[in-house]
Amino acid sequence: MQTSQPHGQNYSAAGNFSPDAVAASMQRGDGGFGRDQETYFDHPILRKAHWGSDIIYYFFAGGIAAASAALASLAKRGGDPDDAELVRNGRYTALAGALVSSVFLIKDLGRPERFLNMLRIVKLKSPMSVGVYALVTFSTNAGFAALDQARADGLIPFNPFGWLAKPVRALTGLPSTALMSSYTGVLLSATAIPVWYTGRRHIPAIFACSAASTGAALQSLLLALFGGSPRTEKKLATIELFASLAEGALLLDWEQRAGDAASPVFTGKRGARLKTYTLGLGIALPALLNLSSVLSRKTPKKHHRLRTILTSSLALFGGYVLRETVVLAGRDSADDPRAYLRHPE
Amino acid sequence: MPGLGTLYGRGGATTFLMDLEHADLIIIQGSNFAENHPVGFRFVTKAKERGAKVIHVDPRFTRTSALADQYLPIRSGTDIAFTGGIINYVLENKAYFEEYVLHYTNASYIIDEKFVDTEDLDGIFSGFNPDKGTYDPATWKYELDESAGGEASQADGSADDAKGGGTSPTTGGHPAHGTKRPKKDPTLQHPRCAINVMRKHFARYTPDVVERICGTPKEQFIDLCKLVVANSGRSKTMTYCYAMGWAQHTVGVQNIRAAATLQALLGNTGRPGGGVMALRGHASIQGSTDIATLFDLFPGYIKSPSLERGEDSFENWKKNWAKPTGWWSNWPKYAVSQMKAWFGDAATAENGWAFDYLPLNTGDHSHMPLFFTMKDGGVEGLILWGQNPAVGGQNAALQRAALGKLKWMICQDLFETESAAFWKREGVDPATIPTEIFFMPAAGVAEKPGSFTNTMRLVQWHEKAVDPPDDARSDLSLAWNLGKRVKELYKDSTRKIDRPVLDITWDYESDDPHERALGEPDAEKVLREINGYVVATGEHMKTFADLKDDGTTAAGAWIYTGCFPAPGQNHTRRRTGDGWVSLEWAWAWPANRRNLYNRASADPDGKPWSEEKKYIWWDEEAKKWTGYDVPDFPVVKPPSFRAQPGAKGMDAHDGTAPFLMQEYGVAEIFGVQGTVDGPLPTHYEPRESPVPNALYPHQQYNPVLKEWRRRDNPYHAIGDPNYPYVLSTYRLTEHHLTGAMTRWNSWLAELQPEAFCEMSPELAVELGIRNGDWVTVSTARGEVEAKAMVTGRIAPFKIGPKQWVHQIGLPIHFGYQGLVTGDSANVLPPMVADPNVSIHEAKVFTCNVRLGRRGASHEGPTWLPVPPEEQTPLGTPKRGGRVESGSAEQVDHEIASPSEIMAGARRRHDLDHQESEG
Amino acid sequence: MERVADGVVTESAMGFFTDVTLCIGCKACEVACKQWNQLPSDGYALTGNSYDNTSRLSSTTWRHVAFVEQMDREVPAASRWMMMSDVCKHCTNAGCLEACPTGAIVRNEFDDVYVQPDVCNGCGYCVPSCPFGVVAVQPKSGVAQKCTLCYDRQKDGMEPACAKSCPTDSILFGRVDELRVKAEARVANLRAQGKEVRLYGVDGEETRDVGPLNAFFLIPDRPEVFNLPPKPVLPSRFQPAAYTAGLLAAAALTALGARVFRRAGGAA
Repeated sequence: MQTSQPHGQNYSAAGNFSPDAVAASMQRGDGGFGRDQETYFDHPILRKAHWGSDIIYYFFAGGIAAASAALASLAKRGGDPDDAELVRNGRYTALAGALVSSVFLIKDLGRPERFLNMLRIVKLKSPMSVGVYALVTFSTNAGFAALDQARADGLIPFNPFGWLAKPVRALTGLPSTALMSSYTGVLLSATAIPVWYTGRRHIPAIFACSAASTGAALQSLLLALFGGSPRTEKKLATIELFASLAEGALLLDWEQRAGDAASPVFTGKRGARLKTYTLGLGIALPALLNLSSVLSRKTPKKHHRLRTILTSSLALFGGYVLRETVVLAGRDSADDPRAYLRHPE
Repeated sequence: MPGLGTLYGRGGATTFLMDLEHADLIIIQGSNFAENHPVGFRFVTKAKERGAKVIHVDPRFTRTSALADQYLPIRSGTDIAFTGGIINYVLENKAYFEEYVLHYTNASYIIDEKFVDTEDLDGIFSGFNPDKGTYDPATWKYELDESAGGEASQADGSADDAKGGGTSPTTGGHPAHGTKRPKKDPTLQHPRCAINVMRKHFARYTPDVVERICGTPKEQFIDLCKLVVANSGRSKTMTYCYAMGWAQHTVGVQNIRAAATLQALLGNTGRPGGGVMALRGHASIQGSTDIATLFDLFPGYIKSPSLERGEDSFENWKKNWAKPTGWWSNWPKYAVSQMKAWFGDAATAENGWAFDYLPLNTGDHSHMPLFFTMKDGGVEGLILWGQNPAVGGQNAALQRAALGKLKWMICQDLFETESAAFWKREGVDPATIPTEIFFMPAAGVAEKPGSFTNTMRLVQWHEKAVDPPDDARSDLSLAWNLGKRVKELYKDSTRKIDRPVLDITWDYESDDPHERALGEPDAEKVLREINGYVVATGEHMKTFADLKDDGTTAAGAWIYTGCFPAPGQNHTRRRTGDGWVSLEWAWAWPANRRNLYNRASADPDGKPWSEEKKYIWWDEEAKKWTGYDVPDFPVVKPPSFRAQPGAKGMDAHDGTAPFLMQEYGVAEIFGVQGTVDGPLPTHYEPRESPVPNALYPHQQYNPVLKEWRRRDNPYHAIGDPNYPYVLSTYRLTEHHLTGAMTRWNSWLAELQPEAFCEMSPELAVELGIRNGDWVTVSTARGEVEAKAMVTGRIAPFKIGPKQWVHQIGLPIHFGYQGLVTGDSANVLPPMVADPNVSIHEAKVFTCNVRLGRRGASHEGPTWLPVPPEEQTPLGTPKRGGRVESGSAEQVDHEIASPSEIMAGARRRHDLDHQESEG
Repeated sequence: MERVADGVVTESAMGFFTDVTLCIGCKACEVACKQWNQLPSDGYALTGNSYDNTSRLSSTTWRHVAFVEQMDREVPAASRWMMMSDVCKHCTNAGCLEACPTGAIVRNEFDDVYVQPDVCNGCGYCVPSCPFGVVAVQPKSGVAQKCTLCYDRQKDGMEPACAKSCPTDSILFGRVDELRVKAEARVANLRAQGKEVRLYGVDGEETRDVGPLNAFFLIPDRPEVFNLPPKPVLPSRFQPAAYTAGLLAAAALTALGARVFRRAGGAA
């Protein structure tokens, strides 16, 4: 067992005790810290939300549901018989999306069996409370619309809630849908997390636009897969184009204005992923592919099935990556104490 | 303990924790007060709030330093140089409290002309016998006034404390002067009066020397001296607080004596906000020494009889210990009462109070020799009560190996400790261990009633809150039931040798059926016996003053007499506080005095020294002493009383003698009796040191320290190049002792989950170690791995323009059992001890450090013998720490680095080979 | 029950004054809290960060002692080692309370912020809403947990476990208005001795959003040195801008949709 260790150095001259050597060692965190400590051992000051895939799916499905409902409503109101498939698909997917979204929300709870506790109170100051009621109202309305559609499709003999649906939907339809599409952005922005609160003027709008573009993309995909009018397809493509371009513009504006505060979203691996799958493949590419048909004044005669499937899938995936990036980048940024210190508001 | 006992008279803190609030200056040295006595530290913070200054002197910047007003660094093991430096400053500047010193200490007493100081004998005192390795203290005494009458000492002059094991926590073994009076010089001019002998002894302890030896910057040291002087005297007082940082050294007792001496010179002892606060208390250690868990003490600090001192009968025993003058003239009352308590009717005047029942000490049976004997196969069985030597013992590998040589072991503890599980440790095959182990689970403190004696001698009763779980029982229950069963086994014996077992009083049966069913005795019955009672009537004793030496009284420990003065009046249960002295809160020994020697808080005429520092004073009308505390003085003895020549007992003390346990009632700053390594503290290096003794280059370490030169207990050479760093071990707040209770508790385990090694950034830079790296610390006794904690709180000590000593530290709490485990630091130190009390030197020894884990098992010595030609003359001193001539260093020369010393010494050739035995 | 209004502390508020200059880092507060509330340990790992091995407050650590070493080789007398017992601040305007959708987090009759463990469903929204990073959801119980200011002990007239166990009274418990008086006196005392200290959570800029803190501190250095935010934010303040952005976008998209799906004949 070896015991010897050269010992001479510690008894030699000043070299090993030079202030520089000591200071350097202290700077490296090998020893005491000086008085210019910026943080407490680089520990986070904030605590990160536990949110992960459940919440991302919740956001994603919720946005699609909201947009599908809106598209169905608008199409129904517009009265074009070509849009009948859209109305049907939209209404059913709105309900499905609302249910899927609810499942993920409940699953994410620490105590899922207590999810009804969220209906104990109405707290307008809490975006979570507002959102829960928006979700409940929206889901109810989506249910009403689906029942109406089912009766129209002959799936059920009559709509037992028809009498209730009309006034409720008239009163709450627009607000609940509008909130469904955007409140998730408010949920994130109204926290103490610097990435999110510095982006509060952008994120809710981006989410709303993304809801619209992914909703439209899903409806286009359904039409392409299960049949529908090319004119409807063009309408959807138009909405998708404008919504996604707005989304892209808002994202770039956010990056530009927030600068360092938004760097967890726009730089590094997450940023590369966002830029590739959302901005690039999710917005730019479909826009390019659909641009000519959207801008063309001619009435479309045929489907571009394969193109639609491609652009819709890309748009959907891009919308998913957007939610994923904003949620996860924000969540993890809570671990950086310097972000909080550098971005007081 | 003897540090205070031999100087003042009682081995215990002179004051109480609450009194710290009244100090103007508090010096904490050899202690990590805030970390190890956090509740007591509250009174330090309260003192600070009232404007007191708090100074912390320590090798490391600890949590105590964090709360101190000032921190001064000191190299481990150099405390006597430091305190001696302050003593020198005080003497040089005549800054001592003259009236106090003149009347209350032996400063004016003239020392026998045959006494020779270390300054004249190159590092040793007169009376050193190099063959025996002990001192004969015959020359350490006063010059007696033959004309003043009185009788000479009755004791056998050759009585030698050191041979009997040397644990004498209060006063020494032999009355040196009989009832004669010493010669005095009240003008303090005589060259041999104690204060001048002391002046000469400490003359070289200048601030320059302190800086060189201790590594404390000179200006800081001088400022401290000034602060000390400014905060002592009539209207200001200061307190010294110390703990294991002073005690756990081969000069431990003298470390403490040095501070006690300083406090006596400054007139701080016995006064509010003054004195020496010995910090102990873990595991009721004060209670342990009071009720005697030391091999050579009976309860109440009565020395057990020793064959080596010729104490083979009651009369011979009494002859050595019943002093003619002072409070110990009452010794027979206490000893007889104790024998009556133990043996009841079987102890009579005719049979020397059953003296023959007592086992006699035949040598040093302290912990270390016990374990050496065990390792050599000489011990059959061991009972461990709440003790964990496998982790707590020095040279832990040896102690663990020793346990494996036992035939049987009983271990009672709260959890399965490392000692109970020594056969499970790394690198050992249980099939090779023959020991039969009985593990008896213990009840925790809330699961049994009993008393706890803390650092201020306060005895507090704690109640039982819940039954212990399953088979766990109190320690008392195990002891009592073992005794009952053994008595039962012996009941038909007719052999004389078995009488002690049969006659020992053993009735502690509980009256509570629930406790009886559990097999638990009545702890209060034990307390009653300790307190004492009148034999005939059973009436409780109210004061030890009523104890008799005629067999009519019984008392297990006279110092506790009065704590339970009547049935139903267990004073240790009381909980009424008043914010300061709190005489109605529990009960302190002796006789509920909180601040000892408090007669010294009044001047020789009985008036307080000042209004600010009023404590006890003489009430001329009521003709008695009165004040805020129980007077530590015969209550009706006036200050004007003067002893007649040849007077005996307490009549031999004047009305101005506060230290009534001492021979002449004065504090013995020149220690005529009690310490075996000298009447005055002297700077020696620790047993292992990287540097030679700058003051006495020929006397490296304490000449009479206890060491055991065996192959399995190797010591490092001075300046041994293989072990260039100094290692100190210590405790953390979060864990308790060996972690036997705390490392099994998740809330505490998470606070300090792993062993770590604190080191300075300078050393880390040199060795390429980063914070958090695994490092291995090694000595010749073994290796230990820990994570490096690189921190600026540890700094190298500058002891010369180009010379530095690196120091590292390891907490002692870790072992291989528990929720969190780690290597035990105590594998590293050797077994070496202070000669007075056999306390181990844990605070300073040498080591090496390297980056990396230790790898294979670390049991056993790793030392490879250094070939003779590579050994240094300083490296391996002869027994007694003597270094041969030819390598003498003058103090005022620059200390060379060890490599230079080695080079020079090789030229001079004189090698002493390390002996190995066994 | 009195409520706090406009940042003014009402008579009934009970809280803590934690004085860093008296803390000896013994962690009795951490242990007493864990014992009283029967909380599990957070795991066993040496962090190497001075004597702090529990790192921060969590769902199962409700008192946490931070250790800050500032060693100065140039001027040794300036070296110091500061210790601070951190705790939930029981803010006057509590981010967690505002965020809670079930109403589990309430302000009790002692004016302290309390999470009702039988109501909380673990949505976790309080967690990123706390500007001090205090409250957390415990994975095992599934509910959010934090310091209750020993609500159960207070109801029986006892002081919280941490305050009771603190040997140097670094942690004082009592009425917030009375504690503030003591704190101001202590600050004056220390400043007279030449020490630079300040109060955190009384009326400094850190109270701009969250209001006065019922658990406030005396600190001898900047807040971030002790892992405290110098300017903690109250998240509800961000909602107006966020809602506006979202609803404006939704409105614009609805208009777009209405245009695209306009009725035949041009009516939109």
